[in-house]
Amino acid sequence: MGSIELVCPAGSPAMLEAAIEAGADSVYCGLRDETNARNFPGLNFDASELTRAVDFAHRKGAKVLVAINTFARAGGEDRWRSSVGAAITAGADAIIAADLAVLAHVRELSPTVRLHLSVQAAANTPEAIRFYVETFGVRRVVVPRVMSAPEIAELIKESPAEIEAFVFGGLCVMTEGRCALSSYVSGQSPNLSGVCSPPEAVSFERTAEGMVSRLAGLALDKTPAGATAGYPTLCKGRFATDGEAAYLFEEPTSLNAMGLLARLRDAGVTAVKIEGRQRGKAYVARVTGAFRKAIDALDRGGSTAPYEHMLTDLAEGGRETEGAYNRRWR
Amino acid sequence: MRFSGERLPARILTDLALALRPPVEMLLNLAVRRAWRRSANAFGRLGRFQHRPYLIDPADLPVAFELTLSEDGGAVKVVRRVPRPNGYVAEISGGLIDLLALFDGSADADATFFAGGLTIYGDTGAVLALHNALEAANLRLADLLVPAALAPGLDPILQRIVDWRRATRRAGGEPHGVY
Repeated sequence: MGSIELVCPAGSPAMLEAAIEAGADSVYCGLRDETNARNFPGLNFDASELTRAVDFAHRKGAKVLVAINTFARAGGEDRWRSSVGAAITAGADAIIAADLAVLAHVRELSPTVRLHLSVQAAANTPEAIRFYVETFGVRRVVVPRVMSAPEIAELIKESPAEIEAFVFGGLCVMTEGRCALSSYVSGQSPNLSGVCSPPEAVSFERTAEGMVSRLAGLALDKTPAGATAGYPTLCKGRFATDGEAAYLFEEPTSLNAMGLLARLRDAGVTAVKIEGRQRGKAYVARVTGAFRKAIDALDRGGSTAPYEHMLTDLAEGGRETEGAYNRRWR
Repeated sequence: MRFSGERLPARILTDLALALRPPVEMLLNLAVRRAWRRSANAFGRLGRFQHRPYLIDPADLPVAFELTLSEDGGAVKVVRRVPRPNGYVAEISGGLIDLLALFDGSADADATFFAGGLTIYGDTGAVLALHNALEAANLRLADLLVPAALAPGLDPILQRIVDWRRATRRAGGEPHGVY
């Protein structure tokens, strides 16, 4: 492992193997239900696949972090208990959770298993982090994608836990863990059901003029023919105000903070994370490979520049941004 | 690779291709069986879309393929294109090269779709489930295109041909598989 731990997504055993072969230090994955925030059809692991995946990863010197990061539903808590049990039995290196009840249950079941606080918990102050550390023994916090790089640097100075930051993939501009846009129109949300814009509610209509993307029948964007579109989420919809159509909340674009790796490392970030468990083998192999090369180059005293534009075609809408890391407004 | 129908009417090309159906179906069904044996759990990822027929429609071929999978196995049929509604849970259309690259997991499905290289119709959840099931099955190009005995030797060669074709098309600005 280099100076920064590279944490990569695994939506299936095949994707987990591809990520590790491409140079991931750790992979994160979820069980095949609503207990994780990528609950898409055909994705994720059953308990026996998870056990085999942990064995494979450990043989290759990599770690497996299991995301159980949605919020338990009243009356349905057993499903979250079952996922926690499966992760511990499989020998997971850490459990990523956000819900206080899930964090408490993990600690009750195992006093030693490593706990990471999910980005879904939206912890962005030393006081919040201290609470999770003192109450549940959380060892690492994944910081929200709305924080700027200077804010993260300040946070690290007082954080009693390791800090992990997203560096590539889909962006979420809302206070994470508290967004209801998807459930407002589709009945399902990332926080409760583990899915934002569930695919069964998504449709695409391609015409000679371009493509119309819809969620639950509502047209969210119209992309001209030849232009690259994005997955229809309400936060990335194009809305008309004052006679002009614009992306009011967020443009369909992907985070790529490879150019900030040195700054994040120097600020004390322990691990960097790639988003995209729903994407597949080709995506994870290419993104992991590029970030592996960039981190290795940094560790040799070199530059990340040769690798910074290798992934543009994988970005949502074919466009990349450094997101809130370079945000100058408050 | 392009069956544009410029010289022969499309219908005659389709009839000719359908006449070759038995050996093509046999080859493709062997490929499905091979993938199922190698990773039986993979097709179970289809969940409620098991036993539901998908239409795989390479835009540059005169025929399409009906694919039905389940945790018990699967089947492929060579079929004529028919107007919608046609009973398929979803249709996936694109250039043959792009479809092959998606099936063996060497291309990113999102990037290909959102760049215009694929068209889908029907249940988007079903398309996603199929993609994830095929990814988990760890298909290789040779599984789809050649008999099992030849597969190990030919797979890297086929992969290079497909990668080269996709790369040259991107470099030339040709749209992904939409003809």
